[in-house]
Amino acid sequence: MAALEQLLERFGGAMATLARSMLRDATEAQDVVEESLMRAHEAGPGFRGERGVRTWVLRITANLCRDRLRRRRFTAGSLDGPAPIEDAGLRFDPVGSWDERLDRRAMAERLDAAIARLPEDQREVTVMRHRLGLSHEEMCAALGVPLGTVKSRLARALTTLRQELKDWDR
Amino acid sequence: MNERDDRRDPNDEPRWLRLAADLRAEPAPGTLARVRARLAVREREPAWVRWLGRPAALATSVALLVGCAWAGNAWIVASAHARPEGATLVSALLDEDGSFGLGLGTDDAANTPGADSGAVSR
Repeated sequence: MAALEQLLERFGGAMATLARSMLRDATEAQDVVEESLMRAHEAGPGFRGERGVRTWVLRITANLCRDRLRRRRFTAGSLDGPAPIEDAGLRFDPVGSWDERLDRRAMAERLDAAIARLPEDQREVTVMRHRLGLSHEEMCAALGVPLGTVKSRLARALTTLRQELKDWDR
Repeated sequence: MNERDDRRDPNDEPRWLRLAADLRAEPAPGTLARVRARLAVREREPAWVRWLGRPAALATSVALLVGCAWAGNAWIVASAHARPEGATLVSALLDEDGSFGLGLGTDDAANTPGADSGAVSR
């Protein structure tokens, strides 16, 4: 059970951020985090450590998020729009320096809404790359897809985001 | 993997993309206690109940269904080949006496004219 505590302490934040960014529902995301921890705990003895624990637990979380999103397609219609960050359970926590003259929170919220509107596969890589800071290699391992796929998904996501936020590029 | 793949090119990725990292989340308080409780409940379940919840259960049932369908088909085909020619139920009934198994062909009394027509036989 000490392993469980360590998993939660070290990777709980990343798991919750991924689940909430993908599902946009704090309750469902919390359930996914708990289920991921349970699966990691149960599968722990078989873990071979080839790709690192973080990648492994994020893979479990990403798979569970995909299952939930797939199930949603059958049980509920599409939402009118992405849930605001409070409903998604995300917290504004500025990282690094920024131009103080700009309303950083409003920009972060607008960017988040644009990310939330991306297709699932592109949203997944965008969140992993730009919110969790995973490398391409880690993303390949966490998603179980080739490097080319990761890069093309990221490129398509960036094109869409640039299009949606084109007034920021000026 | 090439290290250069991971380097962010400032010309390629806009600066505002860094704002994505400003939104984070933490697991709800009491997560550990809830996970422990759920694990304890799960450990009390019989192993086969736990197995039913796994994707392997679905794969096994699909495999069983396909196997049964294949075996059933093979059995039907084999038993059709094993029968003598014309041994289907209908042909067996017809070939016997042409009476559909009603025994009409063998009953001479029934063929006697006027047996039930009211005609007088001489």
